[in-house]
Amino acid sequence: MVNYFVKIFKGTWSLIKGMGVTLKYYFTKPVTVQYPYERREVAPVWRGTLRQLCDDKSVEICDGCQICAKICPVQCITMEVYKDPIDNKRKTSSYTVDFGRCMFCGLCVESCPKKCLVHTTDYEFVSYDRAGMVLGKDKLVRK
Amino acid sequence: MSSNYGLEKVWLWGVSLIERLISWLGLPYIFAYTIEKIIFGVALLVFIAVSVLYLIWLERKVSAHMQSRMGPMHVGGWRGWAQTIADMVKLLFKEDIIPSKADKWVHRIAPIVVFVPSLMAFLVIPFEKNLIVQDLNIGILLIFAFSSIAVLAIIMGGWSSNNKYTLLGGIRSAAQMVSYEIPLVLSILSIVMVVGSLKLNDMVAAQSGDGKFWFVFTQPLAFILYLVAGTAEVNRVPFDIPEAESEIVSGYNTEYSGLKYGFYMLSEFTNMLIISMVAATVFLGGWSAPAWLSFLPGVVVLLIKTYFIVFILMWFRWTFPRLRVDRLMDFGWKILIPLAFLNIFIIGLRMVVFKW
Repeated sequence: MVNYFVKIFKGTWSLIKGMGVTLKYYFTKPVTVQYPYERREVAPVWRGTLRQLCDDKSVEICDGCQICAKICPVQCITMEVYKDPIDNKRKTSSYTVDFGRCMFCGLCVESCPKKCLVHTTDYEFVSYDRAGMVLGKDKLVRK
Repeated sequence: MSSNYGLEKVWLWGVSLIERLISWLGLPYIFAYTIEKIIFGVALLVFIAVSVLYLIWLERKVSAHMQSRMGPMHVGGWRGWAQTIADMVKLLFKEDIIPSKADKWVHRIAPIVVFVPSLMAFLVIPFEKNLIVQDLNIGILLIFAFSSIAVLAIIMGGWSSNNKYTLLGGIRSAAQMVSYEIPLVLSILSIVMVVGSLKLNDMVAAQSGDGKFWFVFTQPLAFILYLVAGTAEVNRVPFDIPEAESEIVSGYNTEYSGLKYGFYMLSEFTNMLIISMVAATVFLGGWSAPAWLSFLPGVVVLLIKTYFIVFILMWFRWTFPRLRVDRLMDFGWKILIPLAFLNIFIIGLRMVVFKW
C-alpha cells in the first residue's frame, strides 16, 4: 500500500522535472537562422566559387602559366594563352571554370604562383542548366 | 461577489431590443427566443472557428519554442500569424476522397457527428453570469454526456473507412475514452458535493466572493485528476494512442481528406477548448476575478484562465512521450480511479467533520 503511493509520488515528481526542462527551453533563444532574410557569416577560409584577382590598376595578374589547369584533379579549368606582342608577356585569351565538375578541393588556389586565384565565401551558386555552371572570364575576373 | 460585467450588458440590451421588436410586431415570444439563440449560436461558431485557428498557430509556436525553434514565421508578416488561415484555405481546395470500399453514408456523416457534440457542450458554459445560451440545472452533466458522444463519431469514422489502421484507431479510442470518462466525472463529483448543484453558474458563485477560494486550492487532487483525465479524453499526447502517428498512420482519420479532415481537426481543438474552459470554470473561478481585477470584463477573465489551461495541455504534449496501450489502461483503472475515490472520501470526510 505504501509502495503504491511512493510509486505515484516518484512518477509525478519525474514528470514535473521533465516539464521543468521543457519550460527552461521555452524561454531560451531559438537557434534558428531565418535563412533567406538572415545569413550566417561563413569562415574566411571557406572554399566557395573561384575568382581571379586584379592588381591596383585593375589589370589581370594571371600570366597564363596553366599550373591550375594541370593540377586540377577533375580538369574543370580550361584556358587559352597567347603572347602579347606589345609588352611581350603571356596572357589568357579565355579562362573558363566548369563548376558542375569542380569539387572545390582548393588545389588550384594553393598552387597559383601569383596568388591571383582565390576562393570566395559565396555559397549560393545555382543555375537552371549545366551550361550555366560554366563561368567564363567575364564572370570570374574581379576588377 | 465581484461584478465584472462587460459583454453581458451589450447582450442583455440586444435581447431586450429583439423582444420589444417582436412584441411590437405582435408575434409570440417563441420567435424572439429563437432569434436570440440563433444569434448566440452563430457568435459561438465564429468564436470557436477563430479560436481554433489561433490555437493551432499557438500550438505550433509553443512546440517550436520548447524545441528552440521559431515555428511559422513567414505567412502574414508578424510571426506567421496567417499560417493556419492559409492551411485552412488549402484544406478547402483539396479533393474530397471517399475510399471505394468505404461505407459511404457513415463516412460522410461521421465528421458532422464528431463536431456537433463538441459544439453543443458550449451550451451551458457561462461566459458571464447571464452571457450563456441556456443556464441548465444539469450543466456539467450535459457537458460530459455530449463529450462521450464523440466516441461514437470516432468509431464511425474508423469503421466506415474500411481500413485496418482506422479501425484500430477507432477501437483504441473507444477503450480509452470509456475508461477515462470515469475518473473525469469522479473528479468533478467532489466539487458537485461541495457546491450542491450541477449548474456551472453555482460553481462559479461558490468560488467567488469573500472567504471563498478557487477549488484548485481547496481540492488540488481533483484538479490534477481532472487535467490528466481530460487530456486523455481529448486524445492528446501523452494519451494520443488513437491517432498515434508512428504506429497506426493517423488513426481514425487516416482516410479523410479535405474539409472532412478539417472537421476532425476542428473538433479536436474544440474539445481541447471545452476541457480547458470547464477546468477554468469549475476549478479557477470562471468569469469571476479578484476584486482588484474587477475592471476586466468577465469574458476576458474566463479566456485568460482558459488559455492558461490550454498552455498547460500543450506543455504536456511537448514534454511527455506516448503511453503504451496496456499501460494506459493500467494507469486509468489502477491509479486514476482509486485516487478519484480517495479524493471523494477525503472531501466527504472534510464536509462531515469540519463542515467546510
